[in-house]
Amino acid sequence: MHVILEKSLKEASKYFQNFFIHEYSEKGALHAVDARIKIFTTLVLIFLSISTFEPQKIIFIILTLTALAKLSKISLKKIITRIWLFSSFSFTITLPLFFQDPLYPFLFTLRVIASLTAIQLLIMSTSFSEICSALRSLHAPKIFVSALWIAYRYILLMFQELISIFMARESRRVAKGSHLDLWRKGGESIGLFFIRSFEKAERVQLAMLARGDEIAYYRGRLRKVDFIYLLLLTFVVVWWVVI
Amino acid sequence: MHIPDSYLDISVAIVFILLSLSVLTLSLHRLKKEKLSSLFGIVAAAIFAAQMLNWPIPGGTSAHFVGGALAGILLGPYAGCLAMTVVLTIQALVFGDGGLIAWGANVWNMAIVGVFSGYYTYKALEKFGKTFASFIAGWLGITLAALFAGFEVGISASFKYGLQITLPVMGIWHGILGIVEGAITAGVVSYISSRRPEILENRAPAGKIAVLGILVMVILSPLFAYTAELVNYSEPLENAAELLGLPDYSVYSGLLPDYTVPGLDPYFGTLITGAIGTLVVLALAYGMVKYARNS
Amino acid sequence: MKVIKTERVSYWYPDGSIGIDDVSLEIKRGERVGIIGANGSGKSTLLFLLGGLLRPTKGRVEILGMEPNKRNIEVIRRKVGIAFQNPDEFLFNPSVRDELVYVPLQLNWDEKNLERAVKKYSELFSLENFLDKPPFRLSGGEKKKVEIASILIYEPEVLLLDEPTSSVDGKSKRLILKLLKDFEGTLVVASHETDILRELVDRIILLNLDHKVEVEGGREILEDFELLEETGVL
Repeated sequence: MHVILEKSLKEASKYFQNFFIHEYSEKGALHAVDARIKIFTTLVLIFLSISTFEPQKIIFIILTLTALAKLSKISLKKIITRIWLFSSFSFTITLPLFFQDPLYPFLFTLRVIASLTAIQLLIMSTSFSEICSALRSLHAPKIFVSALWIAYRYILLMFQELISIFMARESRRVAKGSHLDLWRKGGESIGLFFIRSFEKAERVQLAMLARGDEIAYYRGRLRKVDFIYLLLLTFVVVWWVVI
Repeated sequence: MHIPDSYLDISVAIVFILLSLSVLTLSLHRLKKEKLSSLFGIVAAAIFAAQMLNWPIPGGTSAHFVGGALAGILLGPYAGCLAMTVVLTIQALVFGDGGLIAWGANVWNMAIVGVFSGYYTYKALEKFGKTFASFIAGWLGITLAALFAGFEVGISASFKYGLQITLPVMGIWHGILGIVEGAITAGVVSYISSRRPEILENRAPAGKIAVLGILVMVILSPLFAYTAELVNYSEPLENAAELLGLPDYSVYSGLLPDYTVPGLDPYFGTLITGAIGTLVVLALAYGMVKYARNS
Repeated sequence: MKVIKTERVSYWYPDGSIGIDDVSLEIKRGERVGIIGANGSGKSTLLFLLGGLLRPTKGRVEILGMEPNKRNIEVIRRKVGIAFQNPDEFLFNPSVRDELVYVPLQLNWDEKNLERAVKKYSELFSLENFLDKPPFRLSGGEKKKVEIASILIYEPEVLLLDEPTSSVDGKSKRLILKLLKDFEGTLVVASHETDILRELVDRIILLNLDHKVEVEGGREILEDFELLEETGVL
């Protein structure tokens, strides 16, 4: 059992790293768009994907998303690796409905793919700090945004901690199935990890106090690229209606 | 348990966004005077980490530790609710786990139903022992949250399975997995109460009226969702399309009269329209690339 | 007799940054080798590669005649002990005693051997009073001692150490150095402190800021201040 647990912990941390090593190295068109605009347009795109079962409309949205990804140098392969799990899950569970309505499983899955891709485009072109300051300037409550920001930083910290524990365990794993499985010490090792992180967090808290932890407003004015993107989106909405 | 977009009807999703926002506003109001402690950050981070361990369950879905009750017990109901909301928001905005339109429903299930039910169950049973109380709280929190998720998905017409399937699937599996949730909750609470007992003491008690209000909302929420579904406010854009009198064929006859050749396959027409739309999108996106470089 | 050999080994981190670039070296049995370089030159990465904890992106690593893989990695781990630079990252057990017996328990030592080893190493490292304390509550020097003790206790043939005396006070430092001098197996120490390398090793590998081997040779490298300054060590 501990093997499974250990393995899934390790998988989880790898998965996690994959998300945090953002594709920022190459910045494309979407990266340049204001985060406030992107949050809004993402909601619109999801809304368009999930309020229809007409194949041409859903496919049109998927094509639009693909074009945006391509032109923003966001790797389609990366998007697929991030969304395939849930898309195939959706297909599997709706498959039994094939006999009632042969198109339904496919259309439902396409809707899922479209909405997941829309979110991924936002995520892969926007850093979390941009999202936080965008939310702040869209008048999300201050305490909520700072809670988001604090939690995000602690999550980074904690995963660093978790990954280092894996490394440490790995460096002294001299037998295949270790006796010291996590189950035997179960609650204790989780509790220990928790307290350890907690005490580290108390120190980080001091460091934050020492340097201040205000979240900056997003003060940037909208630029031409933002307006073109809005124009593009308006066209997509209109075309979605008429198609 | 994170509901992605496309599983919920928009009407259902909006009802739960409104419900969640109102409870969240109350929680934030309550927390206004407090400074968020490092415990807050670390509980949120720990729950985030624990939620990433997904265990596949038969029947094609997966389950994971949710931690609503634990957050409530460690932080108190309001900060617990905020911590869970923050976790869910980060999951949606960093990992794409759980939808954006479905955000309200996910917050409702895990950050409100899970946290408040867990916290008050713990409070009510605390006199029988912390371990026992937190076990039951953990179990109840996840099971109730799952039932709500099952309800929201089941009532939505876009997801064709009805309540008679979604409720038992979600409820039974999470009722069983809730035992693990309960055990972890109990393990962590009893460890912390033995090592750093002061962590469990410093919570502000919740106001009675507020709690009553939230309870009423939780109980009535299925009714709201059901009403919204009946009104069927679900496809506003499609309704708009119909109102504008824009059925399929009128478009390309209007914009591209050349293609209204009698006998032309209507699918072909759609294909052409789609292709043109995509081309326009491409052209506009090229414009974006240009300006993105300039700026 | 070669213990560890690398052939044109490179390692890139998942985010694309370079850890180590095109390093070929050989370490013979019983040799005492120092890896020196500035912060960020890739000392820790190289040490992790030599211990089979990281797998090279390019090139080959051979440890005790084996290329590390799923099947043989436990054998390698048993014989190659590796200590991290930051003991906070290395120690994860609830108490110092648990740290010490972590590997022996996996090796199924019996109760008597366990007790004897715990006694011996806690005395050697003067840790008797901390055995039941959680390691993360100890001081920097004590943590470092626990770390090294928990490796030496299972008597590996090869010892890979990353900054064994960083943030350690003079007393603990002298104790650690003495015990390391007494260690009879193959020793590889990565450090930017020339004084401890002078005491511990005979051969020096100098890494430069391009993550490559600048020069290899005897202890005289440690006296070439111009070179050390150029590579950012001094």
